[in-house]
Amino acid sequence: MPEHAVGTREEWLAARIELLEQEKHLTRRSDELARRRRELPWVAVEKEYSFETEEGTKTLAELFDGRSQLLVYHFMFGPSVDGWPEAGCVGCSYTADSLDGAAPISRSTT
Amino acid sequence: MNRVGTRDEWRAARIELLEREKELTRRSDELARERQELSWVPVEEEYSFETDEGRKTLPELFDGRSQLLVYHFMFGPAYTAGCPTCSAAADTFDGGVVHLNQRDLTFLCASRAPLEKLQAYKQRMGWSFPWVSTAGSDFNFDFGVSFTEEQQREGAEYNYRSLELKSVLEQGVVNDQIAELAAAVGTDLAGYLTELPGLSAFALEDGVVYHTYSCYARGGEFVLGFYPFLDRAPKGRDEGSPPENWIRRHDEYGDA
Repeated sequence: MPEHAVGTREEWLAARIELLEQEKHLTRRSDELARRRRELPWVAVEKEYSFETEEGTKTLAELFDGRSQLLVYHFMFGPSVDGWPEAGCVGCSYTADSLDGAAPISRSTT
Repeated sequence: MNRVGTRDEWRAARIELLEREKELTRRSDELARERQELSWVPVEEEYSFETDEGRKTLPELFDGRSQLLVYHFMFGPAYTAGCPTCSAAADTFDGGVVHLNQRDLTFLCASRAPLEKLQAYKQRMGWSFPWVSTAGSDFNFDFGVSFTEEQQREGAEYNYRSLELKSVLEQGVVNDQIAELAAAVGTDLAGYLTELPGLSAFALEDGVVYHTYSCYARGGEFVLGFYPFLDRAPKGRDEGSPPENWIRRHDEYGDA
């Protein structure tokens, strides 16, 4: 027998349904915080930033690439990060492995 | 446009929100612990799966690891293509599999369509994660994601409560959203609604498989890796009410 508690389907189901209620509560709470994020005031960016990109130097406004929203992941890749200068941060690289498929291309978000 | 504020106003509100975000994270950690504390239930039925390496049993699907996570990908026998929403989730699976495998966890997708259909669709979408067919097995019925004609008529259970499919089927094309999704997988409402999404977890110890966890509906929404990003964008998910059906397969979007 495994060290983990083994139960009947009925025992499992009762505990699972109780947990489901907690999970639903968490989902609703998460929705509420997403709403609260959107209610934050917007702060005008007055500084002029410049970025090196595959298509040459661009301004922050140009990084939006024709869409009205921009999300930036600050990927740790610099002189103080392990692996420099050949490699970026391990944890960020792990995160990035799922980014290609997640890029929400049709949601007007760059 | 939102109200515009000063950096100081924004910062005060942001710090207040941060406290709530931290509470949510801690609560999420706590529920993960509670999931792990659920009792394990031995799986006594002998299931058989069609895989890229031939026919396999459930213990064989673990592929030498002690844990198995199955995403029940909606691709029923009548479908000509996989569900677009499941496909959007699957777009992030390949990047995750190698990392999950490092944690003694095998991840795969399971669907009721024949293996040849799954293989052709997987090639079209450019995916490489393992995907097995449950054709001829009760697996997807037993774990609450596939429904017989009788269940469609008499009522079934989904996400731990009763599910009334009959009224949805009788409303027919009146329900535009579901009709759209049925068309997107190349079948009618009855053909489409043989499947619903879910995720199931299993443990293997001393040759015995135990079912440990299953989630459905929004309980499995985390597989859609783009939603957490949208939840942090200025417009959010921006899906309207009722939510607009905007998700397409990655090779079916126009320019955006």
